Amino acid sequence: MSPFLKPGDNVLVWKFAKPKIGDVVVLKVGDRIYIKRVKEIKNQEFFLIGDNKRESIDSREFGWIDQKDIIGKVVYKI
Amino acid sequence: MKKIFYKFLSKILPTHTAYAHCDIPCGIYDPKPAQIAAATVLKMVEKIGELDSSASSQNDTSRENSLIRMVWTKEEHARKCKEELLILWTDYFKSEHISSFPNLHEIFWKAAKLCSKNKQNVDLKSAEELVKSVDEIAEIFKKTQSDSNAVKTSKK
Repeated sequence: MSPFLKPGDNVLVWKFAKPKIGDVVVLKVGDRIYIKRVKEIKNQEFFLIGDNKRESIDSREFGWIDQKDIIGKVVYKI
Repeated sequence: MKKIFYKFLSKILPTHTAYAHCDIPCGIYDPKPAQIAAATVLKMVEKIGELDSSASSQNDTSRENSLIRMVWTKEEHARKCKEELLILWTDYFKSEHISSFPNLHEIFWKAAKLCSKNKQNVDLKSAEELVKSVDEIAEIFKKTQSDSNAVKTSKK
């Protein structure tokens, strides 16, 4: 998620906010938690892209993410 | 002041690690490598057959060289096909797919066995069966993708 985030950065996540295009969200895929930016929203699904597009594996690979897999929206970078 | 407040929050609220680069698991699966490997096995079996019928036009050394290369290629691609099938079988497909495709295990088991059979023999029928089995798996894979538009998970 560079340049927005660097390894080790802390963020505050708000579970009840409805993410909009451009927001950074935290999501769960399998057992792991990931952080990506919302590129598009269609019905209840989100297309998520990493800021570091060359390195990121995101919705371009794993497709649209269901809203139920979104943990919350990043509201503050500490 | 705001920063101190958020720092305080980060101490008292539950924290988790979030990954920005999901290289592992990468979520990249494709039945294409298995299909290419199976098609190569079939091609080699056909070429070995043609080599027998054209034996008189080649000297022994040249024929032996061609035969060894074809057998080696057949062996290598049958191995690769089995490896790719096992990745799909054990990593991509999940228990929920079994409800939609109840004979999934049987299809994979049969295809994996055919890989071994094609290593052991030069048999056109077995090679054709392998291609057909792998194509059937590719078709199921395609259906699972379009059915769920699901998030793919780990392979590598």
